[in-house]
Amino acid sequence: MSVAPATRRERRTPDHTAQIAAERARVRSASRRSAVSGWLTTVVVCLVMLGLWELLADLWLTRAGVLAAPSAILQSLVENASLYVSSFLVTGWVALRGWFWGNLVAIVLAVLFVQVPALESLFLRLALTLFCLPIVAVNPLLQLTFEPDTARVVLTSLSVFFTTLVGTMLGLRSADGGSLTLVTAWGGGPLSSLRFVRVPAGVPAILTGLQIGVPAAALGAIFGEFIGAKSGLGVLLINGLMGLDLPRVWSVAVIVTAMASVPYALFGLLRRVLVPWSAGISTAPARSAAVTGSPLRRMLIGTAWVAGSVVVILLAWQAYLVVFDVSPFVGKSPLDVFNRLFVDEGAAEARAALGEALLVTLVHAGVGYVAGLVIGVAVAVLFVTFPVAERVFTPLAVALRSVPIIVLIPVLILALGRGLGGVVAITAIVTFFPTLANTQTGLKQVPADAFILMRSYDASVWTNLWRLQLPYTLPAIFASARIAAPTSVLAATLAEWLATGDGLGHAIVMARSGSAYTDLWAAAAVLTLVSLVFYGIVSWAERLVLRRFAPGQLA
Amino acid sequence: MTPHGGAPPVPRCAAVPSPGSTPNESTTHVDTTGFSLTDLTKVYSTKHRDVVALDNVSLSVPRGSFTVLLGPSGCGKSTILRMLADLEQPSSGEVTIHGESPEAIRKAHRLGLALQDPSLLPWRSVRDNIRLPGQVMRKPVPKERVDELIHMVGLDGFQDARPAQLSGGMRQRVAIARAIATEPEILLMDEPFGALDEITRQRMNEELQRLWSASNATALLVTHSISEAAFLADRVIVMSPRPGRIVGDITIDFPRPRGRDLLTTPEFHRVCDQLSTLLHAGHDEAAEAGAAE
Repeated sequence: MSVAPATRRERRTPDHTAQIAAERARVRSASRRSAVSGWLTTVVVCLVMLGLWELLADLWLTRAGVLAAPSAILQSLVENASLYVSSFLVTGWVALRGWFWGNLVAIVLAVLFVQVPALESLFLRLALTLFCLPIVAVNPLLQLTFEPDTARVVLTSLSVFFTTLVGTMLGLRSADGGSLTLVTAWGGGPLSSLRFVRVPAGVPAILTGLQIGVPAAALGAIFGEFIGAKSGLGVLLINGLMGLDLPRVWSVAVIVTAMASVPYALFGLLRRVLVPWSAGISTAPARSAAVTGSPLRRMLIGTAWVAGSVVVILLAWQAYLVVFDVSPFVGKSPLDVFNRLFVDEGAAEARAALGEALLVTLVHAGVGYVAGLVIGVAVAVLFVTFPVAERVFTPLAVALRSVPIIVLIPVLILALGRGLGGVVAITAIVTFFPTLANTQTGLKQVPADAFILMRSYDASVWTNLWRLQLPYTLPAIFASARIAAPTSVLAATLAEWLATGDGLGHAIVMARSGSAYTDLWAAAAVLTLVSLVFYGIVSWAERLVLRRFAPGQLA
Repeated sequence: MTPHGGAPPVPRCAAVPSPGSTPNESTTHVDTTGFSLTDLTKVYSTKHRDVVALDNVSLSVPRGSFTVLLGPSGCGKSTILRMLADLEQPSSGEVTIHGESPEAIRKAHRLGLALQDPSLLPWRSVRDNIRLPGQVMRKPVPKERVDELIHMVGLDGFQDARPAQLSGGMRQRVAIARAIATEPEILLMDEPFGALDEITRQRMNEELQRLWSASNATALLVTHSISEAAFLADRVIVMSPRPGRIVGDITIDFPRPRGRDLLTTPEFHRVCDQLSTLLHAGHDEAAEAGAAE
């Protein structure tokens, strides 16, 4: 009976069958044509842009020191092939190991957190702190603690860790509530739930985490080479930037992009092959253990968790110094930093210097962040409103997402200069791409029936957008805004480190080269705090928005 | 097979409106009791107030019988089912299944459960979904039994299909086959056909009756469909909402196997009318009580 619709259709009169066959063939060939023409347009647009780039570079931009021509990049790649290959092998090996360990730890922790919620409440904030730890601040500290090679691997795994952790947790949690209930009713324990339901349900999310981790690993590996390395792509990048060697910088950018985007694409493919079942056939949400009781009790419990997390974070800092036996000359405890900023002689000056640098960084990060968000949403709306633009530019945007920001920064700094413009462009770009992708996805999740309803009111395109699509998309926009918040701080400080000579990024460079280790730790702590607060503010705003627009998504 | 095999052709329907009535007399023989609820109360505490989901419910049904809990949403019928499945604990009162606690039954892997959402694992084929409870229980379901079940629910040829390739009715058949795959002693079903259209639903009811008759399970089905209750049950327990109470207890004697021709008989309609009257009386009473609060 259930397959009946198909069989019934077959039973129609022959002349209908012929018409149906013709209609089917028409639809199929039309969709094939549009897919082919979409790709063709993208390729043509890319070629045209490449030609334009070559032309502009040859005529003017290379002489102005803005960008290298594709031909010059190619020439540099060919002439110094052996140097590039050996550097690639060095950096690639670090990236691979860091990527592996970061993801492994993240997946194991995600399983633990989902199975033992108490662990999550306490340690997720620590994990979040690790994510908000700008690698700009961590890099010198790790170099003080570990062998150079180990430090680079640890740095790489740190930059991979958090997105995989959060993604895997979401994936494990996305398991269907009904299936979990059934496993319990069959006498299965938490381990059975994990094995039969949660882990298979989490596979797509885990694969996504591994995929997103690829460009992040490239970033970590290269940034690790900015301190004390003798070989590697990071060294070539720095040298190229210092010597204003445009083809060198662009060649490294091309190599790193390939290094990141090839595995990135492969993981995307793997996910499609390994996860052929279509999701979303059962939608019963999992029951979550909400805190119950009076408002006062809930507030107290919430406060207790936050306080507990702060203690855990400070203990982790202290433990790091003890466990890795960091010498007291370079390793400073929370108390040392507190004394430096509030007790010791010169505390006021230290605070003033730090505050000034912080303000600069906030401007760099904030302006770019807001610009990236606004432009990202605007472009997504443009894409959805004019599907032609989307067909042509989406493959390009997806490809650009896999470009690690570490190579965008030197390229953009050379192109736009070392002033505010360059830094803001960098932070804007790192915010722009995730916002664009998330908003695009969100805009498409509006139920078709809602459009039909709006059509029956004869609503205009703008009414649709304002009353329907944007409200539906707000959760997606805020999700990317939250994740982009620490990233924008990271991008700003990276740019400061490499180019601008001000802000916290530069303060860290100066503290390190001047062996002012307490200042180094203080700057790292302040930077982490800023990232965390930034993240917290956006999360809070997100919760306010979700409460109104998507109450189902709140735990 | 059926507890009422020798029933007369004309149904004998006895309405016993018995809120808080004493348990059935047959409880003296533990052997013949399917499950029993004694003075069962469940209170949910929310932020603002306490909600009494179940108020002093007592009920006892014979082993191997088919009981239907009928009532509007919010009458606590699913709560009773969840307590029998050891998914929730009573605030007070006692639940026993075949003389044991629900927890003992669940841990001993003697429980079968079907929910409104078929809750099939999308990455497993039909066959592997039916094998799942056996895997969780470390009591593998033999291949022949899986094939037999697939045949019984009419899904021959779909053994290796994934849930996404099946229609809603087919998915729910897989869920029913899965529920009885491990030959449970008690079969609990929470509106398993609630999302299906009327015609599919009737076919599923007939199939369910057949599958249950072939087993020895004590069955409990929760529904808000009057005709589904009258068609399937040996006994229909009618419940009223807020607080959940039993407002009617009707024995249904139609001979089994029951076919769809039963649906058009005056006797069937008389039973449905009776259930409907009880249901609305209970509902109105609850509404008045709510208004008086």
